[in-house]
Amino acid sequence: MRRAEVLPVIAWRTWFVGLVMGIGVCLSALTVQARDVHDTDGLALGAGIGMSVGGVGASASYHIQWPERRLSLRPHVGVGWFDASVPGHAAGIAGAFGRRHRVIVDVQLATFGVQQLVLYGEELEDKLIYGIGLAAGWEWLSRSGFFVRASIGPAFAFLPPLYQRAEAYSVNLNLIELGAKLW
Amino acid sequence: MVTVVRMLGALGLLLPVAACTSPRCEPIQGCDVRKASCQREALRVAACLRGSPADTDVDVEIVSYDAFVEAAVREASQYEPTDQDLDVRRALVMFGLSPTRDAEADARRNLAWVGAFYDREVDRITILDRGGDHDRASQRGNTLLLVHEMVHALQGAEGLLTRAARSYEEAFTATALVEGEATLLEDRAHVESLGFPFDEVDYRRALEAFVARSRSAASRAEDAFAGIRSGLTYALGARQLYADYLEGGLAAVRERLEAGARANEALFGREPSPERIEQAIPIYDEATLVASYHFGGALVDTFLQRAPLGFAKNVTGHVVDDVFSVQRMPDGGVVAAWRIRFDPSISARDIVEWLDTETFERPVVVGQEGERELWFIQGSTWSSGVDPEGFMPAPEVDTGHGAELAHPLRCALRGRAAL
Repeated sequence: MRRAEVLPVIAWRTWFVGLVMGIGVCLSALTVQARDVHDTDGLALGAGIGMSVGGVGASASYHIQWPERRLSLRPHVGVGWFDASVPGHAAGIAGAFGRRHRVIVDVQLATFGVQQLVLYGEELEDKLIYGIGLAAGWEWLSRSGFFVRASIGPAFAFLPPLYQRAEAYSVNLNLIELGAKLW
Repeated sequence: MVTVVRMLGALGLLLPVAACTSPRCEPIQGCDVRKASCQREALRVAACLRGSPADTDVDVEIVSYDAFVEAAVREASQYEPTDQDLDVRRALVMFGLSPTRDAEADARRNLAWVGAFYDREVDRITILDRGGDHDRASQRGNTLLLVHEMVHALQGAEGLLTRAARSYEEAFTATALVEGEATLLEDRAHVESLGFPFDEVDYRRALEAFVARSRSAASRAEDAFAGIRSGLTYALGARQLYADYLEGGLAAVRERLEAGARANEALFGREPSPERIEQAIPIYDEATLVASYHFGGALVDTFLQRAPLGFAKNVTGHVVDDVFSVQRMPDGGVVAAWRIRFDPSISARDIVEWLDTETFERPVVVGQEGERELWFIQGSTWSSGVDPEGFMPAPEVDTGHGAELAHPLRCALRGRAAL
């Protein structure tokens, strides 16, 4: 009768919004430039579905590259929606190896859910639940700057005390992120 | 030296403030209530939230819900009801407050909503295991339930569970207080263990919703008494104690608890009903009095809400006095009369007019006496010539209400004339 649970990570009904946003960013990227941005430091904008974009949302990151070693570091932030009324946030740093196809390793602090306080059918309060996520995955970056990436890994959510520690372990999933590296 | 004096002065100012605020307690983590460590933790949290020492030693047992119910059904089946039991039950059935007696169904109904209970006689908490997988979500719920029962154990250690009540109404009040405290502290443990500061949460809104839902559930329950016991006692008690808590902290809660049945005034807006049961309703010619009760505002309200279209107002806090009298007629029939007096905020005329639009399934004789008093009379023997007006006080009787009660009673016979 009076239970409060962490909501599911991503509301399925908002996936469509993320896909539309991602496609829009990609189309704009394809029309921006033709020069090779594989090896340059630069800003990238994206959109997608996953923890790194706060659920369904957008991201911004800055590539710092060492082309001779095919290494790069990419601090990133993301904002989005967990549900229609619940905002999500993420911030982290990813490392990558490769040029066109890249292996990525990511660590981030992100929104992992929302804790609702419901007593006797009355929703009294809610607050975001944050957590730390690790992820490994793949990124494809075209010469023009278009990118698509996905990653998965373990996560640890900072749950309220009522939850047992074992419940805090979950999955850090970045299902898909599309976008463009602008320069 | 001056500094020390100033510090002591500041401490002196702070102490009353500290006494009015509740202690900060480490929140509880969901655990397996079958484990001793979990039980100790629940006791620690309950004692801390209550501001009492956790020095009681409580046994906790977990038994199968099905086995427990079966045992209760067997025990209930073996009980031979007295003639008085049967007559009272018939009266309650006629008023639509209870279903026809069925020992097995009664036992099952009374346990249907129970998850755990504290037995003060053996100082033991029994948790009824309803099967299912003891997953973490259910463990969280059971942990909070155990905190609730540990509060009762601490109440028992202080002798708060053994106080006698003189009437159903007083028993209701006493139960509402102990269940109210346990509910309040369980909810506080719940709120804080989810990371929300209790004092910043709109708990009053939650309790108002709890009262409304419980009132509605009681009006729809097959047995009004079980319906009230399973929800309304908790809700009304918690609402009252939370109001006390906001006013004076744990000390005010403790004071209310120690007042026991004398807390009627807070719960129902008046002192406990005066002990004049025998005189309150005349005994009909040749009838014998079986039993009389003060049921109180909660049951009166539930009764009025059990009609197809419930009365528009909540009368719980507005019943000044009531007497429910069960009488056995010479032919073996049973007649019951319920005399209810309201405070000035409730008009008896409004209720009578509302009843004109209602259809009770049972024959109901309604008498209005002045603006504040109503009679409901139901009988199994109308057909044998009993005149319901025989239960009404004669107009010349001084009822203490002044001249307005000198009018003849207005009676209306509703429904069929016999059961």
